[in-house]
Amino acid sequence: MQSDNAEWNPDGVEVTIMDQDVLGYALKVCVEALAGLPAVVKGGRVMKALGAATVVLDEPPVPHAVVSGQMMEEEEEYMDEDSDEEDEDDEEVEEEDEEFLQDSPPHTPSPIQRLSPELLFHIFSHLPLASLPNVALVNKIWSAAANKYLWDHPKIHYTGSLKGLVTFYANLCGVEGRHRVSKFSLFWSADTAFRNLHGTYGRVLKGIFGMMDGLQAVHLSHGAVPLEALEVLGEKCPQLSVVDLVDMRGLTVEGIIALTQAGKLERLNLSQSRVLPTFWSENLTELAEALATCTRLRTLCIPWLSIPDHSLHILFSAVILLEHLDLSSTLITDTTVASILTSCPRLATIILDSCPQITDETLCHLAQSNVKNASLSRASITDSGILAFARGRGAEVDKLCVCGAKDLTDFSMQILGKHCTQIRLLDIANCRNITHRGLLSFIEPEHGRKNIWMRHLNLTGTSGMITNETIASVLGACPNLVTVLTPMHVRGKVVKEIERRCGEGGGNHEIFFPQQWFGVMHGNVSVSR
Amino acid sequence: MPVVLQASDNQQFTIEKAVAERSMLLKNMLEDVGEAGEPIPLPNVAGSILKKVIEYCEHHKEDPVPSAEEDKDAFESSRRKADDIDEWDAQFIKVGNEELFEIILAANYLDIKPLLDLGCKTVANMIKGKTPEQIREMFNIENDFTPEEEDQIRRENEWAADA
Repeated sequence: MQSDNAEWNPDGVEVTIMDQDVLGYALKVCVEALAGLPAVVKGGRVMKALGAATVVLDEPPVPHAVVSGQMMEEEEEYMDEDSDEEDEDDEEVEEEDEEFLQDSPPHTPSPIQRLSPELLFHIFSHLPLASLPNVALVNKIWSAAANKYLWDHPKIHYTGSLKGLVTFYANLCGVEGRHRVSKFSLFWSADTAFRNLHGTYGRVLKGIFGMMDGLQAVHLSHGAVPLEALEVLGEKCPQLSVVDLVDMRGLTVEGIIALTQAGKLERLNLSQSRVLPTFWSENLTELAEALATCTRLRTLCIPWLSIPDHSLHILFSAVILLEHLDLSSTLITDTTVASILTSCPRLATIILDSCPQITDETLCHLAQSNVKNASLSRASITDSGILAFARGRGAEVDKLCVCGAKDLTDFSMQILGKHCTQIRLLDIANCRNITHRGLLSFIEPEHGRKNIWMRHLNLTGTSGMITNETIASVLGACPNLVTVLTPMHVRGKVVKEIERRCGEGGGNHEIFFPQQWFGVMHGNVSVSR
Repeated sequence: MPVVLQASDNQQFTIEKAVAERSMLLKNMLEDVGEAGEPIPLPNVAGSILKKVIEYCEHHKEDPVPSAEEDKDAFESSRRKADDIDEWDAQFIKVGNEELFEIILAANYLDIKPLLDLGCKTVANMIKGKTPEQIREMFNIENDFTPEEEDQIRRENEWAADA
């Protein structure tokens, strides 16, 4: 109700309440919200409310004490009148009740009352989140099941307004369930969040993290997060193991270092986020040392951070459990890749897109490793690198992205078809020297034999020699294709066939962003509409 | 070999084995005890409801049996879509409230997951967008909250209404 009647100015603390009736409630919410924000309160700012109440907050207030005596009296009077009337009514009702009870057979509960809390929970799982607050008000049994869903549910997924976030924060104070919340996801308009980073938004986020001390996983995407909030996460959430900060603005190296204090960190994913400063800087060494203390790390996704080689050696000789690694858009060298592969034997996924110093040598090192998924887009690689890799890893290779490798020829495709027989994803976008011969020899190394493994194929920007007929043969040979992206010049019936089999646009394009391979985008983080 | 089921009111139903096996409970039971030909007693299910459940199983007897662990992701993503109910199923589940809940209870007891989901989705669709008062009225539920308690719950969950 307070949303209609009160105006909340997110950047200040001035609150105007238009309707006297909501005064008590709105005041309490605001005061609770402010109570956790000492930075706001310290200045002795004034909160105004229409009518008699003007509250000056010199110190963090005791929430209930603020509601003025006058208000309380009014409420009591109102209650008194009410109860007088009720007394009279009650007598009549009771008489009626007695008659009713005498005449009717013993009360049998309606079948819905026989539904166990588990079944109610099952029903509620089919409801949108916004319906649950109403469901929780039906009766005590429903309330328990709905609250279980709302609060013990593995994650809180918040996409509402800033005002809503403030209210949410204010209400967290009084809720026991907050200690049990294990996952928190937040999606935000980057601009709003960024502008408000040091205003209400930043402070509220910090407050929320401080109160949910049972957090194990935090997913923030398309927004911003202040340093202070990351500090709180690192210090106050001892169970924290998964952190996704996808496409975030304004991240700093200090913030990431603060996060590493969470000793149980298993996943740190900064994909699509630019961390400042980006190039050579002393605190990158410090960052590497801090990350080296997170020895449980299994997923590390830190693109754009060109940590100096000697620091990388320190880092990767410590995080030996690593399974997924993304060091895209850095100046990493072949030699460093070799040493990473030696010290992290479990590494199964490696992403080194747009790393200008990566050459065939890296492919030779990968051939000796346990890597199944590799993405080396826009690297300087040739047929001989692919030959070494395909021979070394063979049928173990699951996903390969070599987008933009201009030197690769049909020979590479032939080799991949011969050795990597169970590959499920191949991205050869913009490999202009690969023709229909290469593609077909890859798809169908033995004529007439179906390729049951191939699921995702990216052929955008490939040679003009790859024609409608080539694509038709590919579709015929790969019964399990889910995604096919074709070059612009492919048109007509074949495109219709792709849309019939793979859906509009040829399927899920995002699968070709290797950052997706971490499984982040599947279920855990999805952009709200 | 047909299977004989006996409802709580002693009504007996003779059905094909393939139909009975839509129920995981009956499937396991038949595997364990073999086919003795004796009627299987189902003391928790009334004849009228059992008849309805059998009708559902008859219609769906050709459906592939979903393996328990298969594609958990696909299941997770599908469960939130309460709207996508097959046309035959939609007609089948057009019953009174009492009967609907009896069907849910029976599906739960007999362990017929698609029918349980169908029932739960139907109830979810009935609840969606209703006020607490409307929900209570619809299902004849008594409000056992004090106004203070109601207020407290409303505030605690307000964030979700906004999400």
